[in-house]
Amino acid sequence: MENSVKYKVPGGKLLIVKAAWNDRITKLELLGDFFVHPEEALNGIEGLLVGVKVNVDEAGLSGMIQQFVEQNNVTLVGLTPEAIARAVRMVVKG
Amino acid sequence: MRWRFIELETRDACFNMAIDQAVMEGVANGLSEPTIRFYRWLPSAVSIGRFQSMKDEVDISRCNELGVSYVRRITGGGAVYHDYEGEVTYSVIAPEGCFPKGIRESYAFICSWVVSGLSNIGIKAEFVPINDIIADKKKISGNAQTRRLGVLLQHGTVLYNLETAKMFSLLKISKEKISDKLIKSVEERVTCVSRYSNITQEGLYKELMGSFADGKDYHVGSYTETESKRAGELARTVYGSDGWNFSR
Repeated sequence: MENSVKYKVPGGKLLIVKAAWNDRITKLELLGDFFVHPEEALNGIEGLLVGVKVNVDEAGLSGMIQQFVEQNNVTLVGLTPEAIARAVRMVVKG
Repeated sequence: MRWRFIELETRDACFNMAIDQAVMEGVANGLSEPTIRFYRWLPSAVSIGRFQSMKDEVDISRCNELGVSYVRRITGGGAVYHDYEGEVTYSVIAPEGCFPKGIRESYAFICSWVVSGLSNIGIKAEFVPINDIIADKKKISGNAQTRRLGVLLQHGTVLYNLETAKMFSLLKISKEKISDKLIKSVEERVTCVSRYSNITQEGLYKELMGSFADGKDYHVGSYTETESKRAGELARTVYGSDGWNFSR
């Protein structure tokens, strides 16, 4: 299955998630007018979410992203781990 | 610390983005001076943020029809239409240590130079996080920042004139959304210098030059041969390539 959603991050920027999945996420793209420092880290966040089971809840996804952000000294501006998690859940719910 | 100022220049989209990166690399390896440059875009161009989709954001065939270029920036943020007669763009490139450490604080620091320039021509403006400057409660300047190799790059535009209808024809917005109502709504949210001042575009640049230079040790210079050569390479192999521009 495939889907995309637009999600306005509260107090932040616009996040667009495009994903394909079966029982796991097989493809995922995070798009929008947010900022990520360093920029290359966004590929890492996308890679982290590919392969994740689609039934992982918002808190689980958010925790994974938060851990990645902390371990890799990533700064998100206009975007949060919670917002990514919420938008990913929205996209796989169809 | 001594700054190098590059006076208002007119360049194409690829060069404008390539020279920012070339100078950034030069500052990182100690071969380039901290630099502030002012520029215009010819042909007029659409730039998109690092994480946007070119196909989703830009009507490429309309750009081709109108001779408008398109390029992906190294920085995040949104899609911007850079009209040749509609704005003055700046870039600030210097070691991170020259600025407050926090990203929001450093935006505020550099944006205060823009605010000051606008104030000098009688426009009361203020910085609004994350990356905007507003006047009369409407956006008059957008700014974007990246940091790499210990160097901070912030570039931004100060709107001089607005061509809302042309902007809408270039940025991909679903046809049903292009209504008079939406255009009016954008005009209510975005403003430009020419609405408040009779100053010329060149005059606006001079005011910005003055406010950016205020309190700094600086000289007016030009690009080094190394920077120009590297910018040429980057313009050809990165910013002029579909691989980069359509990477998302």
